[in-house]
Amino acid sequence: MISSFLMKRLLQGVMVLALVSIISFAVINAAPGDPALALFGNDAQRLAPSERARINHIYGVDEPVMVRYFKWANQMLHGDMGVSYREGRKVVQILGERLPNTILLFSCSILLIVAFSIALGVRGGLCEGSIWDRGLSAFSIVFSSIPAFWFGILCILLFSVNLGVLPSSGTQSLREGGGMADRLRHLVLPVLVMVTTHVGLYARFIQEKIKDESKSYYVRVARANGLKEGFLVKGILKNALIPYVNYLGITIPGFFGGSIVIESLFSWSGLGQLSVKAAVTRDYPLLMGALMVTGIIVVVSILITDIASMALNPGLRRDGSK
Amino acid sequence: MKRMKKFIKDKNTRRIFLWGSILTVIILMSVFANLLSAHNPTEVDLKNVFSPPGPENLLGTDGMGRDVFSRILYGGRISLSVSVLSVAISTSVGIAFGGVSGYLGGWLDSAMMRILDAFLAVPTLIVMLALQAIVKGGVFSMILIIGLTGWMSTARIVRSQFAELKQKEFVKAARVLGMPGWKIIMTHLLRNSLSGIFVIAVFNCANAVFTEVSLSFLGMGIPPHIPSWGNMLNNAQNAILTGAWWVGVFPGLMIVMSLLSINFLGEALKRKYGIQGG
Repeated sequence: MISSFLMKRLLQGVMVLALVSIISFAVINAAPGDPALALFGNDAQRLAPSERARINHIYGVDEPVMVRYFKWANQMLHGDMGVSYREGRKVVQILGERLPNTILLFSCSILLIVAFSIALGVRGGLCEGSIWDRGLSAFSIVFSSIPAFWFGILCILLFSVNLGVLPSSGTQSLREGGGMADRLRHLVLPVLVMVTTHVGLYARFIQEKIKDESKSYYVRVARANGLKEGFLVKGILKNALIPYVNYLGITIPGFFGGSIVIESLFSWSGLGQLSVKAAVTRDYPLLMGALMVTGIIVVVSILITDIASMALNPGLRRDGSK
Repeated sequence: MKRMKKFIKDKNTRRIFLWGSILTVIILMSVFANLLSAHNPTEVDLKNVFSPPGPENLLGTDGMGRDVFSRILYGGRISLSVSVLSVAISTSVGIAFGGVSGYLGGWLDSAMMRILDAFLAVPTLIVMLALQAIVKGGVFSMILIIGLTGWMSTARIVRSQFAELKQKEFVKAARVLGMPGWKIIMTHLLRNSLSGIFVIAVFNCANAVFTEVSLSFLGMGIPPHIPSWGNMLNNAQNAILTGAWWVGVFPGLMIVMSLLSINFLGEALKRKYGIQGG
């Protein structure tokens, strides 16, 4: 049985997707440029008006906005995202090639961030006033003030230019042809940058929660009653994890914003790099498709964090509660 | 003397002073860029490409022979003013949205909060990519876009402050005495939320610099012919691969210094006023 909490969240997910689709469609719809411009660039001006109209008619951009939106939404629901202006291939096909790379980068980084931030945050939170505690607070502000791409540039300078140990871009090298080890080597720098620039923020969050939780009444009573410290820590951690998982869900959209920049910096051929390219070349079907798929990934990730917080918090599992 | 002692004792005041003065120095450097720099930031000198830092060009020159030091100073003008102006927009929108939601309450409030949640779940950078694809460049459109995508956190704070203050005795008393609604909002609700709004606006300034820099780095922000901190880093990774590290390192240091001072300043203000969240 699905609890009402999950139903609400599912409904919100659908709303978000509708919003993403409307934003991307409306915005891109108002944009200058047409398929003829995308295909021929500046030479499009030299096309005869009738020829230009014919090209635009083939791509169906001469119909009213609402008709096009519903047509597009309907096709989207059937998994047809149209044809890229630029490459002439199906958008679904292009996205399908890029999706695994983005998911690989995303899942590696988020797993490492969760692991490290919990380890660091627990360490800092339990020893209040220690060097770990104060160090972590400063570390988190410092690293949230460093733009990820600049940190990435520094890493390229150090590891690729000076030491020459890691590749500076791409998902695999052309010469060695994409073996497992080669792919992993290309993954190191982007993941390193993603993790270091984000881990402080999450670690600090859980640290603060643990500090709050340790001061609460039930912990003091339990401690006064002589409960073992290990047992206490388990309880504190569990209660601190609930808002943490929630926070994770809230920040995932911002995280995807960051991955766009990282993918572009390291020429990591994922969705983020694709959407930047599509936006620069005004390849609207491709851009819309990329935005929608990113929206779907975000909604699914938020749902996963919701399920995780349901597993942690029995209150949410009960029907009718908030 | 006593005040002086108190000033030194209070850790947060000390921090506000320290980071505030660093930020002031950065701002002044940008404001007086024309006095401090010997070179024209847009002057191309193709005989002097990628020259390392030295007495002639303090922080070296970039791939088109332009002086990095003066570009940093002039770039600060653009990056910082984009940030401040966009925060002015986002704060106004946030106050309006959060104010209506918190003051009126009821079903309208919950509907507006649902909409806010949906907006929050859409990655901002993606909305900006879409928007930037139409308007294409221009400092003004940049300000507008960052302003219109960054109001959610302010709206949240304003809404919770308004909803809380509305229940306070003095507001109820004012209503019973027949004070008009707009006057209650201006004199009681808004004035008492100002410190919270100010703190979140400081953090939003840091976010706006961050966004401008990221978008310009992607080549979708400030038009390339105008120097801005993000634009300077746009081709920096290629420059670095050819060995010209100063092209990438110095503008980045400037960004980090200003973000650090804004963030630490916000953090100290937040502690001083005891504001939750943000």
